[in-house]
Amino acid sequence: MSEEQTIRNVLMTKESRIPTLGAYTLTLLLLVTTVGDFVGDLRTTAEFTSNTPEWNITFEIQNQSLQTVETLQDDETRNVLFELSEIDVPEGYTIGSIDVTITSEEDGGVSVQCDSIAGDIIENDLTAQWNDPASNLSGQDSSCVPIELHLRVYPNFDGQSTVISAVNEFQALEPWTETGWGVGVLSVDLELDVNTPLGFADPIGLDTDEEITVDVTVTMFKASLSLVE
Amino acid sequence: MVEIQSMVPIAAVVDLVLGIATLSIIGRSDSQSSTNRITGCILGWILIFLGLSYLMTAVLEFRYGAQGEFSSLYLNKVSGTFAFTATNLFLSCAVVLMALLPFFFPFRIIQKEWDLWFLLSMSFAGAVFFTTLHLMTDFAHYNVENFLHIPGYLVMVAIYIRFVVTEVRDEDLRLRKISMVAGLLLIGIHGETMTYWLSQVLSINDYFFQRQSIETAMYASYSWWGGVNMRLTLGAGAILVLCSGEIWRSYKIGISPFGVLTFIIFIIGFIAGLADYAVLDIVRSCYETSCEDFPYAYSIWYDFTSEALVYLYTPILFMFILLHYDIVDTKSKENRWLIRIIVILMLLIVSSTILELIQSFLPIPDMISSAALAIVVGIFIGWEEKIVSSLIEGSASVKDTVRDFVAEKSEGREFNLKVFNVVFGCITAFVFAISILFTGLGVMGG
Repeated sequence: MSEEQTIRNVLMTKESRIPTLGAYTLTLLLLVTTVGDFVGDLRTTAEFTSNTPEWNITFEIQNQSLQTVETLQDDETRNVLFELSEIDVPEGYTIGSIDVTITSEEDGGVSVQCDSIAGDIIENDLTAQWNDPASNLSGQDSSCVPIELHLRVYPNFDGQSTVISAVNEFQALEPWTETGWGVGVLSVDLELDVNTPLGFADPIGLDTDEEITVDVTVTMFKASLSLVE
Repeated sequence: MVEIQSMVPIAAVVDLVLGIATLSIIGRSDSQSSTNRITGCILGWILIFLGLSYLMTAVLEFRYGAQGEFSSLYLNKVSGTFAFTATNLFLSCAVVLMALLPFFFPFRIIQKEWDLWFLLSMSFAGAVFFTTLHLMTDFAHYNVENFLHIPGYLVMVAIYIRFVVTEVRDEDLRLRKISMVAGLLLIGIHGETMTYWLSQVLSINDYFFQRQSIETAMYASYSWWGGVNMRLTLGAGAILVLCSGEIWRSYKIGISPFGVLTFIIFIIGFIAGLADYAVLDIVRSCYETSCEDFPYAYSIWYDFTSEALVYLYTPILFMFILLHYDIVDTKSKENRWLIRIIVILMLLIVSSTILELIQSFLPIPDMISSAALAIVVGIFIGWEEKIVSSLIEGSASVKDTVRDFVAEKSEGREFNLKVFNVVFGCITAFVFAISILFTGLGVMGG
């Protein structure tokens, strides 16, 4: 003999009908009252974000220098390291670029034949724009003119003011507030090749070495902005 | 002191461990009814989808950094990346499953032979539809899937009220178990938005989303904002219903632990609403002048309430439902050791995360926090058996609790676990493949 199972309704009873409908009504009321505000704000936000004003970004610049003087023998290559953590970066500033000037003692002198000097900034763990076209990592000179090397550290930083489009100050400044650039050690290789006057040999060995000065200028910046009217 | 860390990686680990363990135990729970096994599978796959989504968010955070509150990411940076695409698509899959869960637990609402096929086909169709929609529109209509929560919300609210009312009228205390699980599922699905209930009632949540849109360069569409507002409204509606129900029940029968949980969430939402109102000037600053940062205390508040609720307490809530409602075979000796490992693992992960959070704003030396963690570990190991036993021994399935509400024939229907896992495994593979393909082709974020 099979017994038919009686299943009670799981969703509603006579007593629960009114409170359930009340709960549904409350939810619907809440939805209706808030949807108006949401739609209104959606319109103003869309208008706001579609109207992107232009901002003039300017940079306050501060420089700090490091210097070392090295005496190199003929045909010698020497590596010089500059610890960038020794630089005191002011609050709100970021390292933008590094300029290296290599000068020999014969600069501006009356030497007939200048020594040949080469300088390279060596790519290492220092966080910078190593492959940026603006970075000039190698130089050579035999005409007593200082060698100028440049390493761009912060992306796209050239110190020049710029105009960009952004919906607000936050987004306009966002590209200039990254952290982590300019951390590490600057490594510079120096190489000397002594040239004797008029190409003659130097029998008494008077000109076998050279004093080379390496000046490192670290450029730091702080971005500020103004609305372009 | 340590800096506040994101809870997303922890949530990823917790959800994935719990999800995989659930599916593994379900695979060995042949004696369970088909409804229990379907529910276990749905919960397991919800946790896996959430875990995968959090994993991808953690990858984005490690790579690009989280911005502001609640791990919001600057879309100009992350849009178009594999991790960004995958995180959103997995979340959509989890939403689809969460929307279907109320039709199978605590009761199988569709009393037809084809209800399981309805679940599988809807899950697959939903995943494919939303994936395609989001990829084709570059996530312009993201959050539109929140509208899927409406039927489940109506079902859960109806079940909760029906069983509370009948329990009080007939003084039938076994019915409490059903109203409680309906409430727990509402908290599991809408928990985060419940903590914003006062802000939604005051209708100020729109300002927060306006700020987020401006700050993260998020494209705002009607469907996107409509979906967000729907989710917030359902959360606010759910907590107001639960709170009213629990006040009435407490007055008639007496207070219960679930009532306390509901009141805590209600109070958190009330305080959060006042805090939100207090920082409205800061919220509006993005629109009116330039974006100002929220006060530190405000961020800590959200770390401990809304964010912790979503990332840490929701998996524990699901674990409680799995064990306390006998969805997995807790009596089997084979499963018992795995359950013990999961319980201890969950509790320890959450305890250590909470300790780390406390350490982020209280100047507690590492030595003291390590000692505190050791104490917690000691307590859990010492009371491990008691904790697990109290969870398991009080457990009873819905069928055993209220036999007069469950159709025997629906419980006896055949259920092939393999088909279920293959379908959801395919969805996972599909999301991974399509994310790789689209980002690799450069279609996204263009």
